Amino acid sequence: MADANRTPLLDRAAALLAGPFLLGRQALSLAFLTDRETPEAPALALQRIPVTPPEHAIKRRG
Amino acid sequence: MKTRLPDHGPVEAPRFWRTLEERVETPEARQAAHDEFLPGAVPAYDDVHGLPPQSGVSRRDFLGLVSAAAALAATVGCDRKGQGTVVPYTKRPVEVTPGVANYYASAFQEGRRVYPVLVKTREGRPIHLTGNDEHPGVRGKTSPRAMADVLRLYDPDRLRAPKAEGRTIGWAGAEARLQGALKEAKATGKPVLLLSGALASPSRKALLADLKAALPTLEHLAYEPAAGDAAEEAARASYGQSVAIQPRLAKAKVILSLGADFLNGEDPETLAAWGAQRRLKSAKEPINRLWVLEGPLTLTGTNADHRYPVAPSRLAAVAFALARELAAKGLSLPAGADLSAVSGGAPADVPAQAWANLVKDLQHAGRNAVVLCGAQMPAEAHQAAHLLNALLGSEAVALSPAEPLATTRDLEAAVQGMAAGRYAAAIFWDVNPAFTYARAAAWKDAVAKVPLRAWIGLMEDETAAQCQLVLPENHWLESWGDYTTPGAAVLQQPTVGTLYDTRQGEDVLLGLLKALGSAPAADYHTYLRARWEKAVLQGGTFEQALHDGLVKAEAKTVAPAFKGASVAAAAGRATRRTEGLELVLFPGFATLDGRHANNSWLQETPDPISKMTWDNPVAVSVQDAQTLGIQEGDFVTLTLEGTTLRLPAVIQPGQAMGVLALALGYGRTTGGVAKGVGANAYPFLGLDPATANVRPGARLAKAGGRKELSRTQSHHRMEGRDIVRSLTMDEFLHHPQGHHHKPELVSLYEEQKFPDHKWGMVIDLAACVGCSACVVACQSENNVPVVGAEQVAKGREMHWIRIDRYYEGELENPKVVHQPMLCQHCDSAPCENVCPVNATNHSPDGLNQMAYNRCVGTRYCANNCPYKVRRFNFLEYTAYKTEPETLAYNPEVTVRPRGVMEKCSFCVQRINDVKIRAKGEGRSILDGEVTTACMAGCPSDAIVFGDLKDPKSRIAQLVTATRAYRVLEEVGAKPAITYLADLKNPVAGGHHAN
Amino acid sequence: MHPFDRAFRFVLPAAAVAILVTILSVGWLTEPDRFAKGYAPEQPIPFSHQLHAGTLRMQCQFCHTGVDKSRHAGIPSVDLCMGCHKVTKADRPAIQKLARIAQTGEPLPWQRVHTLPDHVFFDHRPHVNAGIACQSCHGEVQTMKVVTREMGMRMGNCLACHRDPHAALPPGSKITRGAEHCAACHR
Repeated sequence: MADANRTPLLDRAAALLAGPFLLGRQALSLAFLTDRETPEAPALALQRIPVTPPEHAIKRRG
Repeated sequence: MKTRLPDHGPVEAPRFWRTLEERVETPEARQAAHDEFLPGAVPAYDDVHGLPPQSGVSRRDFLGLVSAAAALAATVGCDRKGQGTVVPYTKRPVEVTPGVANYYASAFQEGRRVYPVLVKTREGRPIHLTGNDEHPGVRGKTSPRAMADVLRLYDPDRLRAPKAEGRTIGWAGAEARLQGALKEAKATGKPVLLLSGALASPSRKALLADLKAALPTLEHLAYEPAAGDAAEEAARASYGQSVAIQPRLAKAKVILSLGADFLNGEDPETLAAWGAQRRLKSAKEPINRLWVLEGPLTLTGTNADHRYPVAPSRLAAVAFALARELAAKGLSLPAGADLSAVSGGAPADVPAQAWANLVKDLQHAGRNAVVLCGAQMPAEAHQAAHLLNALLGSEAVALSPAEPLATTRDLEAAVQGMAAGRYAAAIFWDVNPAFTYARAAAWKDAVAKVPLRAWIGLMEDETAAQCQLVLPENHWLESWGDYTTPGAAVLQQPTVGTLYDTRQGEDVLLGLLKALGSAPAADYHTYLRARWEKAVLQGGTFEQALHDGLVKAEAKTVAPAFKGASVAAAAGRATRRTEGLELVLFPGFATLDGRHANNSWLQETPDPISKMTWDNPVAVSVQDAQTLGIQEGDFVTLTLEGTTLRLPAVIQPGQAMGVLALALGYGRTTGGVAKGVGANAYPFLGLDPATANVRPGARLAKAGGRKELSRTQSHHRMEGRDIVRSLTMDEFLHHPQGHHHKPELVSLYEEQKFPDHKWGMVIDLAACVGCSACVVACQSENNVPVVGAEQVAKGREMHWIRIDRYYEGELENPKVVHQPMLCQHCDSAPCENVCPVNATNHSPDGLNQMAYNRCVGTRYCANNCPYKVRRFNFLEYTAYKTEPETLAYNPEVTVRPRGVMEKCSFCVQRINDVKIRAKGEGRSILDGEVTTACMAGCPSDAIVFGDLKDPKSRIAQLVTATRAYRVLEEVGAKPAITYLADLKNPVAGGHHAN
Repeated sequence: MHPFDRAFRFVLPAAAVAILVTILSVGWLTEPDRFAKGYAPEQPIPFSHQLHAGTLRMQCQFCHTGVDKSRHAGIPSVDLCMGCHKVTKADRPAIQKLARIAQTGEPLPWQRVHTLPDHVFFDHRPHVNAGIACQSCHGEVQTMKVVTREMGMRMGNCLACHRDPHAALPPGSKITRGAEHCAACHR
């Protein structure tokens, strides 16, 4: 790769366009989960965990 | 473009997304937390360039990429919706007012120790723990690990439903299976093994007795790997039974510690007594003297007035020699004690003059002297300590009968039994022998021979992996229980309903009892209450006991008598010499026996001596490191009796030559946080209980390579600046300010006026032992994030308060001073002037305020801070957290995102709350009404917070103390925190260094 | 100067800035101001303050019980509503919906009208304790059929009153200024 022709201008132009494009695409894909599978991090992570008051406990002060 | 809220139900506040990712735990999101750049940015760039993948993008190129994308990102990130929804209760629980905290009294058991606590809950969730203020012993204080345990309630790795053969099943099925196995065992008369933790609960003990009555072949072992087998063996030899030894420092004028780390934070009552004795106002007040003889440097050793490095295997010989000397000086030996095996004269381990002083001190103190021995020290050393206490007639120690603990000998017998197919079933309740038993392979093979193996615990561990039935247990914050402590019978009550489908271990046992034919109660709550109403409550109501968390009652116990006949054998064994290096295995500060390894708060709290986090390197003495050519962080191979471990080494000043120290409880193989952290030292444990934790014949060699250590501090010298001060009693009396002069400060700025209050703090270094309870308390109260080993190595730990540990003097046995360092809330703060966006400024009541929303992350303030107490969120430490971890947050404090500077706020949320309440009640704020988390957490009351403008406040008196000074006062920042110099009480004679 | 140089040094940045400005201004103009006065979202149950607080003269604190105890005023729990509505107007479809919610325990998602960003820790207690009427910030709620946001509730609004509160305070109040330091609300 070191001996290929270097085209810095072309590279930078491409990066300037490709960068925001890819970033934006990634951003959109993260913001809109429609076309994504529900991530396989356990579904439990997304469910709210029920926090219920204890039974028969007496509090000290409120 | 609309951002869609995650579909998990309505939320009280609108979700403003600070980063693009919503609360989705994708692997990419997790990775992104580690990367500086959004996922995809780095590979995309490399693909475009056709370059081989780099580990990162250069800053210049990154800016080029992102600047054009910023607009797009910004618009997508905006919240388009309204304010979100607000959902009230359908049926409001009477005791909950949203926004107001409820406090419940409960108790936490760790090994043999019981910690009465007060649990602060918000909207039904426990979020913060302190000690139970009504308890006559702890009086509102508790240990760092107890405070950190609230995080374990919300551990994502907690098992949420029972499992059989790895598949989730219901409780009905699980219990049926267990009950079936036990019924069968009863029918065939085959023994059942029940391995549990220490029995500190009378009701649990009664329940087990009931179970034994219903199933006579039940064999119960109470197993605590961190309790020290040697201590247990020694107690049985000296007293004929298991004994609890509790120091009573209030009565102690001279304390001799044989490797006993009684000041390490595990015993808040003793620390309170220590603090009371050392927080002197004037040099004329009485003070105790602490002598420490130990191998590895412990926290107690750092607080000693005199410390001498002595190899643990030599402690017994030294102590028996001491006994012999004292007997020669007229103190009467207990009947039957035979010290003929002990050679006369001073042992070589201690300098002659020091020896003479020690003997004199003990002799003169007599009943007011106490000798304590470290739990892991060899049994002979314990027996020597028992003898010395009996010899001195010590009143500064309380001996009481204790529930026996299983030693490795008992476990070995159990292993043999299991391997022989003796047992019909084995139940493991809150123990992890697959990890803590020295011969893991033998254990695994033996356990496999038991037909039914059941495990009851919080999160699946190494032992659960070997069991068919895995039953999830309630966390103690969801449980009922009771304990006996000196001075009070303590209750444990649930402070939150069970978060998952878990049961209390005792309820599982009650189910077993029912299946076996007797049914003492429907559930453990009823069982407990019935017992209390019958035996414990003397006239009071159960509700009142729950409210207080205890019933005051002096436990009526008979102190066990010392058996003089036990001395001869111990003295004989004590004269053995050991060759080579001796390896001391001690319970880790953060992990204890490994049970807390999954607690990220504890893993990140620096070990008070080595300041290590997230790892357990082997500690090597200065001399041995020189001999072996080892440098800090070098990988070494540690070999002992065929077991070899490759791990990093640290050099520990003060550690006795020939002694290696290694913490237990690391090297876990289960747990999202614990896995792979550190090395498992349990295989090195000895099988002879008398010397299980002090092992001779270890070999150490360089293994090549170095590890970047995650240490929060590498100071070994004070660099000449006036940061910490330590005075001997003589200096305290004659020149408490030493050669330091109060600098004359000239300022360009006008003095700020503080019309109403001026908050300040006084930290007494004489009382601070370095236990780090304040660090954990602050982390709990202020949502301080955890950053992980890699980031700590880069110096990015986030603790708002840290304990700086300074060595002074010779490396082989330095003096050590601990200094809590936090934002000094300087009147003339160097950080306030330099913030380009005015995110930090001074409040009219003396606080240096931090407005997180304004901060743009210039970090100029941190650069300017002379105390280096400002912490920057270099990475996104919090945005990816989901329930249950987010349930632990304190709702009164912002959760900071990436790019924001944070620091101690003097718990401004507490100050504001008290101010508003006082104003609402039409009164002024009382002294002591506002307690910062660190002040409330400090067991020795080293930290005092208050209003400097109130002449009657405690802090106003302390600020004028003769040994008061401010850190780096010459810089002119005018800190609001005053420190009181550390005090040491060496033998009068003027020597400052040992 | 090389022509490419001119393009990259002047034209391209100018174009980028122009695009940026366009996106930002379009975005800003089309975004609803979430702090705007007049924000009156439709509620799941057509609760009328005009009826309850106005005609029936119910006290604010009767339902919003947290104002003097906690930072948050709170929304009344459904069982508080059912206290009257178990009987009152039980035939109305809205009340029947309420009763169903009370029975099944399903959440009642009120559309939040008054809120502040996460970095603001507002506390109702000192304001209520000072005798400031709810209407000072929330407008004449007792005339609202649908709760409408009457005040932008930006920091400027808060500070303006804190600097000169006598209009909002009851007569005879000794308070001259409210808190002006950051930590009072931002922590």
